[in-house]
Parts: sequence; structure tokens; C-alpha cells
Amino acid sequence: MHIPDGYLGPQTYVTAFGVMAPVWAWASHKVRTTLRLRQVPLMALGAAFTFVVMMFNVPVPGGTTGHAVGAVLVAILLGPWAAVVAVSVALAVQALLFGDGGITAFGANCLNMAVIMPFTGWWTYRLIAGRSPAASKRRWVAAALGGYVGLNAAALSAAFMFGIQPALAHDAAGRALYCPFGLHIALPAMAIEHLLLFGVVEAVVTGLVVAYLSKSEPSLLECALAPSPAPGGRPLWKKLALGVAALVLLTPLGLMIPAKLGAGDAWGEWGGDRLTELAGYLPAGFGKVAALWHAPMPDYAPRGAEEAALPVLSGWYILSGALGVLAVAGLVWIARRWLSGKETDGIAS
Amino acid sequence: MGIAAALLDDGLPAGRRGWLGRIDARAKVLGLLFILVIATLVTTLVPLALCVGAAWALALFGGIDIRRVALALLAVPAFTLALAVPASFNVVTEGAPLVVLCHLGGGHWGPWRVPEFLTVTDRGLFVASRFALRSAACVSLASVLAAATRPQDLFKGLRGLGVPAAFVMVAAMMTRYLDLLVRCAEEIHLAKLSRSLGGVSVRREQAWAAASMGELYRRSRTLADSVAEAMVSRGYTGEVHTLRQGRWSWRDGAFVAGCLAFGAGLLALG
Repeated sequence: MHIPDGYLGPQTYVTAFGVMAPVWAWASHKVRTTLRLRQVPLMALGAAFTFVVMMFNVPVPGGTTGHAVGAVLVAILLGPWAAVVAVSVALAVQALLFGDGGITAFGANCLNMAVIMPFTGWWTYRLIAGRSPAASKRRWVAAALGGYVGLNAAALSAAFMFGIQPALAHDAAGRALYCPFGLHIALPAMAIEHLLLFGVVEAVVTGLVVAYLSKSEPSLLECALAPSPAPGGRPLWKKLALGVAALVLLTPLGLMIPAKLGAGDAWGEWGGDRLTELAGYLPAGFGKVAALWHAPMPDYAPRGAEEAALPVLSGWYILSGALGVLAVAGLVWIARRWLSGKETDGIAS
Repeated sequence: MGIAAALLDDGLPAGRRGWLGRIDARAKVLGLLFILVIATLVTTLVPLALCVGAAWALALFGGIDIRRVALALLAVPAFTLALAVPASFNVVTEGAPLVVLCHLGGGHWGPWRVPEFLTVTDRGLFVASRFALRSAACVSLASVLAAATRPQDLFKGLRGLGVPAAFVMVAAMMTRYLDLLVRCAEEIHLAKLSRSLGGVSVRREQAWAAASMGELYRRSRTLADSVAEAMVSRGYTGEVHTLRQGRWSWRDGAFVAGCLAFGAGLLALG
């Protein structure tokens, strides 16, 4: 997972540093405002703990071993923003002192292992664990799934970074300048080993450590940095709802700006007609698969309204956005209710 | 765990002898990172080979402990070479065949097209060589920087180059506690070994490893709280203060100038 120097071109590693700079600034602000005086030793110990976790080789069936990254575990124990700082510092020390992970690739490694991994893992954990008690079985199941999802999300991002190199950077003869393996090789190679082996190791480690702590000292599982509203402030869900509502109202910009600029369809998102126009024929497989399902609102408007005026289409766009948000929120609510019901049954029995 | 402890014991407090060790950390970070970035920009084999050569020359004649960098200088490029070999095949990089390795039969394997023969191509060989050389150059330069600079000086150098003080302080404290946590993990491991007879199942091994990590975290939290209290009792108010950076000598300036000139030369070579 640690990308060494020389694998990523400047287009990728400079972009990764650009993405990480505000994340680091925000993470240190969040940590400073939440932990105050305790922050420095706790962060240092958190980083040292992350480093040491990466050194534990855990046996897996089949006679092999693997090591966990531990970013989701740190996110569960210290909070995701503290994990950003702790894992970034651990990665910096690994790169600078031990040559594990590149110096130019440091931003990319942090993006994968200190941002994508802890946040996806932590949200998975929060979604499944809900408000269950610290000693509950649901906590360690949630932690294991969080570890698995987090590691695979990070691996997917790393694979994407590797895979785009031949297309992004090549010489005049078309030869790759950096990682020579395209997406068709990098994605399956990384996905297979992480879905089948390393993801399992991460899940086992994260789940078992949380299980151990929930039995021996459950107070440590009460996350120090769980987002909680400031006294007198709006609850988190209200802020989120307002943000989502604002985004839904802004969705017609996605129609207006391309219309203003005279831009066509997004690359690779063509329908059958447009593809026939561009390529001169409709690939047989495309025609067969495209006919399998007809969406009730193609292009975010009812059938027959696709060619309506822009203001009408904007109205349909907003309605589609609202319906989509409601559908996703409903599914999450049902899943949560189902899991909460199971947990209550477990505790009662 | 033994390897990690050896790395920490031998590596972190090692004396940095020789002229390279005496160069100011800021100059080393600036100069060597400049060459490292140049190594990611050049496109031909000669400047990359020169980068590897320069790293080896610094390691051999800079008066640093060669045992410390030998592993990185030899093992990591060898690992990268093994990764780069498939890039020389026609299944990854198409081109004129140089050597036919075996008959594959052609057709398709899932979404992938299988060629008639597996060959090493001219373009593939160049791509693989450049990939392996670039990685070797970067890893060698980073290893020389780490081996020639004490961690405290390295962090001081980063601070001098504008890295925020809070991050530098956390990193510096982390390296100090790392040694402690590794020893702690070793003690837990030793305690388990001293009470074990014969082999144990994979499940039990997993449970043991997780319990060790959990215990390590519990001790880390306790230690962090104690250290925080000790810092507050000594007047820490949340402000980070670092030691004043030393002055640059002519030797430091000459080193940076040499690195800049070398990097510019590499760029000119392509």
C-alpha cells in the first residue's frame, strides 16, 4: 500500500500534496480545538501506535501472514481527524527514516492511508455500530467491517493512481514514464489481493482489538473526537441536511453551465444514439446490455420531457435530486433500523 | 518484531560520522530532496543512472555507516526490478519482440486479450529499465538522507524549511516513544513465548496479536496522559517552541550549490 518514489509522476504527486495541504490544516485545527493541551503527546503516541501496529504480522489461514495498516483502528480509538494527523506523522517517519513509502509520494500515501482509509472505515463503523454500548458485540463487528471497507477503499485509490500513470505521463514514443501498468492491470491486481487477503487481515485486527478493548476497558472506545455539536450549535444531522438541501437546489448548474458553454455529453457517458454518431456503429454488446433496463426518469426528467426548455428541465433536475436523496436516506434508515432491531434482540436474549 | 527493534536500536541513535554527517540538516534536506524531485522529472536512462551513482558515492565516501544503507540500496531496487520485469512483456507494453519466451495461443481471457506469444519487447525493456532505475535512484537518495542525518536534526531541518512546528514536534516525540512502544511490544511477545508450549492455532495467534495491540494502546493512552500532565506541570501552554536553528557554514552552502548544479546537469541531460 505504501507507494514508493518513482511510481507516480509529478502530475499525480503534486496534485496529492495540493489535496492534502488543506486537509492537514483542517485536521490540525480540529485536533487543536478538541484535544487542546493533551494533543501533542496523544498524537505522538497515536502515531507511534500506528507505526507499531503496522509491524505486527498476523497469521491468516493458508500459512501466510499479513500486517494491518491500523488507520481505521486509530480512527475508531482517537477519531478520524486525529487519525489523519497520527497516520500522516507515522507515514512521514516511515518515509524519512525507514524508506518505507516515497518522499515525493508522501502526499498520495497520506491521501490513501490517512484520509480515505480512516474516513471510509470510520463512517462504516459509525453506521453499523450506531449508539450501541461500548461492550456490545455490534461494535467489534462494525470495526471489522470498517477495517475491511477502509483498506479496500484505500487500495482502490492507490490502484487508480498507479493505473492512470501510463495515460498521464508518457514520452514521445508513447512509453510510460512512471508506473507502466495501466488500469486494466493495476485495478484487478490490487483489488484481488486486498479483497481476499489484506482486507481480511485488516478486518481481523481491527475487530479483535476493539473486541479486546470492549471487554478489558470499554471507556477507551468512547471516541475522543466523535463529532459533537458545540454547546448551543446545530446538531450534526441538521447541518448535513441543510448542506444537502443547498446542493440539491444548486444541481441545475450542471445543466446551465454546459448549455452556456455549448459542451456536449460527459466523456464516456454517451447514450446509444450519440455513440452511433461518434463511432459510426453501435457495438453489439452495448445494444444488448443497454436494452436490459429502462429507467423511469431517463436523464433526470420524465419520458418525453427530455427536450423541454431549460427552466422546466431545471425543475425536474431539482426534483430528481430530492428523490435520489430521499431514496438513499430511506435505504440507510431501513438498514439502521434493521441492525438496531437485531442488536436489541441480542441484548434482550 | 526482531527486525523492527534492530532497525530502531541500530538506526535511530547511530552516530553520523564523516563530512556528510556534519552538513547542516536543512542543507541536506534541501539538496538531496531537490535531486530526488529531479529524478522524478528526467526521462532518459543516463541521468537516472547518474542519480543512483551519486547516491552510492555519497554512501561510500560520505563517511556514513554503509551497513545502514546497504539494505535499502540493494534490496529495494531488487524488489522494484522484480516488479518492473512484467512491464517488459508484450502483454503490458507492446513493441517489436526481442525474445520469445513462450507460446500463449492467443484469444481472450475474460476482458483481457491474450497474444499469440509472450515476448520481451524493445519498448517494454526500455520502460522496465527506466521504471526500475527511477525507483532505485529515489530510494537510494532517500536512504542516504536518512542515514546521514540524526532524526532530531532531520526534524529540525524540516522545521527550518517551513514545515509547521506542531507536526515537527509530534513527529519528534513519536520517534522517542516509538522505541518505548517497540520494547513494550517485545516484552508482551516475550511474556507470551515464555508461557507457551508447542504450536497454537491460527485463531489463538490472531486473538493474541489483537490482545497485544489492545494492551499496547491502553499503555499508550496512559503514557500520553502522564506525559501531558508532566508537560503542563513544566509550563506547557499549547504553544510549540523549537530550538533556534544554527547558522549555515560555507560547507553547507557549497553542498546545496553542488546539489543544485548536479540537478540542473541531470535536467540538461534529459
